[in-house]
Amino acid sequence: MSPHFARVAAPVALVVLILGGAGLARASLDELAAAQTLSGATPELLGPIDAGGRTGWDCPPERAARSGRAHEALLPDETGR
Amino acid sequence: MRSLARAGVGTALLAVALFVVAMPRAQAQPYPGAPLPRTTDAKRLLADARRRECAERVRLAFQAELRGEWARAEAELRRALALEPGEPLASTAHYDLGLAEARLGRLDEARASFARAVAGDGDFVAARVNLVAVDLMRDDLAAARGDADALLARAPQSARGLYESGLAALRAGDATTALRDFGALLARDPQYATGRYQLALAEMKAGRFDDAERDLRSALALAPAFARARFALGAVLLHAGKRAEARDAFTRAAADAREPALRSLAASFADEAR
Repeated sequence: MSPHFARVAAPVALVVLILGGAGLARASLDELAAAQTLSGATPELLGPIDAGGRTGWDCPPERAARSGRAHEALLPDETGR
Repeated sequence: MRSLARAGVGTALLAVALFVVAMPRAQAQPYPGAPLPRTTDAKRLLADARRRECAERVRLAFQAELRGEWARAEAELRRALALEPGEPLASTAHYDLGLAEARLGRLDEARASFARAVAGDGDFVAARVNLVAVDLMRDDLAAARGDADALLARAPQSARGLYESGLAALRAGDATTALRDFGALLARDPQYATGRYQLALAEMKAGRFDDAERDLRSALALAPAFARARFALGAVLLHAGKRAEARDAFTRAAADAREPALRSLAASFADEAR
């Protein structure tokens, strides 16, 4: 099962249970939160490193791993999904 | 004739003196690009040849990975590791091998490779980051949380570390840790809308709905078309009994969503909230 399919299928399955079973009025916030959580993105793996890149840690993946800033750390951006 | 002989002896003495002075320097001179002195010792030459071959195979694997040729990269890296390189080549090769294995869908092997990279060099933060990411991809939340703790112990300022730790905690239902990690992430980068959304999810999990509403509105101020955040805001408003506002939020989420599943979900909730 692909990660993309899992991201989409999990909340859909949960929502079918919520709406098909008891209706919106009885859908708990936990379930709604869980549906969102399940669809939260795992960050992409940091990219490859050449042997020379480890000298002085001068390589983009290590810089991204150590950065305290989201965009430098290549964290997921879900705002456009 | 005598002066010619004197000149010849002088030249010979000068040559010997130059040899005596220059030879130690020449022997100590490294090969270009390699921090090894010149040598004729067979064992040292063999070790240097292996190191060079290993570095070249890691370089070839790196280029293959940049092209997305994961199987070729894996083959080169396995041959490099068979040469039993020292550090930092060994941990670099294990890291790149883990990446290839993950891309080839072999997550258990990828985890083992990233773990070997970390064992070879504990300060290899990128390897620690990818180790936690693979744990999350494997849905092994216990491993993810343990590896994330080790990552943050080494690099407490790492945004990746805070995000991955928070995500693992949230998926495990540990709202307290998720609140701590996403809160620390946002303290360093308050403009990160996705992080603020994740913080709001943790607040919902902890029952702090007012805080969740505030953070969701902040996320939406940063990214007005953030459909997931709009959907979550609808859920919080629904919980607060604000059905009309909730309906508006779900309707807007349905309009903004690009994923069919989320669009359908939001539209259903908007209908139900009428």
